[in-house]
Amino acid sequence: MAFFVASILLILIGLYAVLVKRNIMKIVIGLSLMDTGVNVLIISLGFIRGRTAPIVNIKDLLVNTSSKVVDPLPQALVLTAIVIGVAVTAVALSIVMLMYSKKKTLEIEEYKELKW
Amino acid sequence: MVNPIIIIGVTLASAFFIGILQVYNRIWARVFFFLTLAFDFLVSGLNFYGFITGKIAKPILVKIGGFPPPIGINLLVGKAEAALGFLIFTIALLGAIHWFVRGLPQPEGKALILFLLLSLGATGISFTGDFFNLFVFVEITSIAAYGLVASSKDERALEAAFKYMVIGSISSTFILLGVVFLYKATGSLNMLDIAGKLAGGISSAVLALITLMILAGLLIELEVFPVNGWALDVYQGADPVVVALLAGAAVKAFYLVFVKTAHYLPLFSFFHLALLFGGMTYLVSQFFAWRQRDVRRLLGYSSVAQLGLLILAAGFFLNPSFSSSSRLMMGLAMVLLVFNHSFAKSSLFLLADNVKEREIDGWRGVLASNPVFKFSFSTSVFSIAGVPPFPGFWAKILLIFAIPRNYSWVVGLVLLGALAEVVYYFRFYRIASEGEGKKVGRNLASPLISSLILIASVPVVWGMFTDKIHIPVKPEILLLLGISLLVYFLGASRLLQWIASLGVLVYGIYSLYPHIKPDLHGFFLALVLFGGAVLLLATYPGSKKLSSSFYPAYLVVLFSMAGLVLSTTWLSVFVFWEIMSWASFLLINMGKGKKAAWIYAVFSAAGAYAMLGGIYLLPSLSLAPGKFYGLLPAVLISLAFLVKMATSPLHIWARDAYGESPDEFTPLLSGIMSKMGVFGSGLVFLYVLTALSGAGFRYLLGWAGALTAFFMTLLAVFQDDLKKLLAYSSVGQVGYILIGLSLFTPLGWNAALYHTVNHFIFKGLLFVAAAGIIYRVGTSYLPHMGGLIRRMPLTFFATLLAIIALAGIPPLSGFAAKWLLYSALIEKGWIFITVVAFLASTLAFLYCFKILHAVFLGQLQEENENVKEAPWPIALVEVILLIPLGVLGAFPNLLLNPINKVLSGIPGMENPGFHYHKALGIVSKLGHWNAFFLMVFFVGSFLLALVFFALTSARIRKVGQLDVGYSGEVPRTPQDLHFGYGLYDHFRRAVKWLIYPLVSKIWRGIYEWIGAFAEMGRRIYTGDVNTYAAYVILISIIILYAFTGVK
Repeated sequence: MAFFVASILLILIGLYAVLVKRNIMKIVIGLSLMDTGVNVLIISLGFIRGRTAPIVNIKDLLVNTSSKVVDPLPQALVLTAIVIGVAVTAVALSIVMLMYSKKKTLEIEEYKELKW
Repeated sequence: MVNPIIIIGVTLASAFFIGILQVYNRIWARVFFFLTLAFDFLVSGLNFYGFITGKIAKPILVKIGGFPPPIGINLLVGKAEAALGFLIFTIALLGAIHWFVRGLPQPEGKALILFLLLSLGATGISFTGDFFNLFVFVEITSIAAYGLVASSKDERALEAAFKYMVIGSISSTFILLGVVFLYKATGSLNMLDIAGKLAGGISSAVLALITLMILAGLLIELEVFPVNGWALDVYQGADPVVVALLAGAAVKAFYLVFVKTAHYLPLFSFFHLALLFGGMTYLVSQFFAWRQRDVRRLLGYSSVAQLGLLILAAGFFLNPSFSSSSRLMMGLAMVLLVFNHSFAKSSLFLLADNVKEREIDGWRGVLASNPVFKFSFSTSVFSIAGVPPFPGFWAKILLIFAIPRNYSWVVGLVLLGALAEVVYYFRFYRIASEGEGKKVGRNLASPLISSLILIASVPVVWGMFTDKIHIPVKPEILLLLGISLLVYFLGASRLLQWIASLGVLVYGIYSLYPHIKPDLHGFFLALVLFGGAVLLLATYPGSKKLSSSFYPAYLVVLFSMAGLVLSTTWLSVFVFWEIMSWASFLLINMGKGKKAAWIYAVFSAAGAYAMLGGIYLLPSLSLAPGKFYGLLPAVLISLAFLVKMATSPLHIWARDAYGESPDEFTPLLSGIMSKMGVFGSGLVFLYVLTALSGAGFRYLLGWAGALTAFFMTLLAVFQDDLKKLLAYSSVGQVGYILIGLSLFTPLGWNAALYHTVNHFIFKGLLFVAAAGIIYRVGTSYLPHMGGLIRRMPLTFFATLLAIIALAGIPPLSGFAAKWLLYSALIEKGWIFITVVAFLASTLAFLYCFKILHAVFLGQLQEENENVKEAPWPIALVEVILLIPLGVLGAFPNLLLNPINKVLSGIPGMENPGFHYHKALGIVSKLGHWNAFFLMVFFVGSFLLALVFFALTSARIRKVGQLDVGYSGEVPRTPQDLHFGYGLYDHFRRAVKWLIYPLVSKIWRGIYEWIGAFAEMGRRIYTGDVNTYAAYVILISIIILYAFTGVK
């Protein structure tokens, strides 16, 4: 439950940054936080109290595996999601870099030329 | 069958490889890039071909890693997926071609890689059979797209990419969360597996919420209102090639997966979700584009609107409570819409790349210089705006008829949006076709795409007329329409085109002759064919500027009218009506009045869409008398016909459209095309209304006709442009026909049909004569003419007789029409209408005299000294048309007898209300008149006077033009004597309040107000990424809160 609440909190904090912060760097940080929150949430969904990590080459896990380990699928998914998150953050940061190098500012106010 | 994983694998591998290759050799990297896309194109095409030919019978299931589903990841490629894959790589390939033609963006290698990744991701989205895999492909697509958008030369692209990235990240967070929760709730990620588990419909609120999360994420990617600000910014700022790939291909993959998700996770409230967001997006965006000045953003709004329509369609397609036949029809409409939009829109974006200016006003003149550009631009614009024969047109019909009757308000919404689309696309088209030539960049891809659209139209048209929908049509008509288009290829020589057109028309008469039967259809067919043949004769030699597509369009107008009058169902009336309208738009647009053509297009489209709505409301499409189904369908259907007849207050297009269309086309426009409105109104009176039920409506139309006659005549009196004067006059005369029709008595219809032919003869004659005059004099401005009687005696004689017929003076054919009409009016007891009509007839004398005086009488101007008689084809046609004018004057029965035969087939009209007496002539309840006697009398008096003058001519002294000093003043120039300018000025001052342009001001006001509102509404796209994110949260809350309905 704690994971659950924490992850939702993380997502909300991230969302808050995206909605309110006027600095593009902070918006990117917000996105990253949301991403992390989602990952924690996924892990917590597969988590079952009292069970261990789904690594099957440990000896006593070889029998009755499914009743001894947590759900392995969310963890596998999260691995992928983390990789994707890194990629998105990298792209985001490079876009921010380019934006900064053109206008020398990170204020979102200055990036409203496309509208209406 | 090729394993679809090959497409994904090869593309991915070569994307990596290109990254290495381009470090060493750029050229080879390009070649390799192109080869990869070509390979993908071929392979996906092969698979698609397999599906449509039936060689691949069931969906291809690809197990990845050897695990069978639901454990392992899998690809599932059915017909739709294969089609979409093919679409994606077709557009990718064309985009790549455009890149090579235009020059690649920098840094080149990275752009190539990302381009491959984007097409690969989109393909993956459509191919995948697994929800988590879907998320992965969504991310691949998105990351590639962010990078590609940012790589544009435009500085603003970075900003667009950033906004796209923020909103895209939120959207994929939704998808990811939804997918994971879905796994938690169902224990599976495999689409089919989950679908099997949820086959009975979603019954728990938690599952409904999860489904909505995924759908919300996809809806953001599908650019629904109001979370589409990012998309519009991307469309405006990014490299058009990237935009083409995004809007044309990637978004369609999202759409497919949206439909699949909604299908696999059968959410009870999906229908309303789609209806709300699809409908809102569609309508709002169509209006937001209304006054958009940036071309790319305009196209963006249009894209968003099309997507909205697709979402709306998906709602109907997936709703299990509708009949399977209508859902199938909707599916077909969706396929056509996707195809149409993907190709036409990517073509337009690529074309936008060729014009340096972003502002729409900078596009002035782009069509004039480059025929290839013109071809691609016109095809794409027409295709998107739903002009026949392009797929968009048929998609609209299918979509509308697939909507069940209890959702008819959706039909209204769709048609309203379609009208707005016509308004702004044709405004765009008008601006592009105005002005002189302007240089545009090279483009190879857009002409290719346009040709593809054109080629694809053929099987679509074929399908519509034959198996799927079966719009009934005489096969001859389709053949003739096809042949007509071929005349275009003789473009080098107008003479050759003219001869070929005459040949085609003669063949048309030959093949359609058996259909001329004594009924309403046959009557109008005869008018179209024979009238058209005569008027076609007069189009030679034509002005030198005559466009090479003049004759094809002319023939298409003719044969679509033939198809129209031969229709047996309302649907076929609509289809041919639209073909006629759009072909005539092209013809009018060839003249100097581009704005006039635009207004014509808008009014035509408004009428046509109203008609489509009305037809939709009819329970039976066949043209046969039925029960009365309320006034609304009748009113809606009539609108189209009233527009074409230019009945007040729908007349404001007519003056300039007639006046500024090519002189070769105006006779057809006035003489025959306006009669299609007469034909249609007749159909409405006969088949939609019944004799009793329509009484009030008909009375109203009677008044509309009378007021049209009155006001148009009044406006004609003060008109100083020959063709515009004739235009007003023509519209006013058609008002009389409408009065006759509205009477719905045998006498009234006799008058109406008689006047139909009569109007064709004298109006054809007048416009042909006008063409001859303008050809010789070089202007249509009346004060610059005068005294042409000696220079163009034949034309004078023809005009004189035509005017006598027009004014309804005996002994020519016009008198019979007037006599019949007034008899009918008095017999019916519509006294006030009679008074107004009389007034209008009297006023008509004023402009009749004006034509004669200003053109032929008065003083010859110096610059017209060397004017010659009209060219021989025009003179020939004048003579041909004079014959029936005189013959019908003496023997009106020659026409009245066939009309009575036509009417005798209509219940209630068997007794014509008059009879023929040997001595008294035509006898009605009110009196009698012997046309032959009158003719003899008039001709006799004329001859008598002639003889008198001939005998006394010895005493006549001929004087020079200026030899007429009076009051001590000696005129020096012909202008001093000519009062063609400002004729009737006193009268004008007296009736100034009557000719105040109230109606056009109202229409203009409506246009401006809608534009102003749209412009205000667009401000919600503030350009601020925080606001955009706030909209996302807002609609997510709405979606999750309002649609968690469970059955």
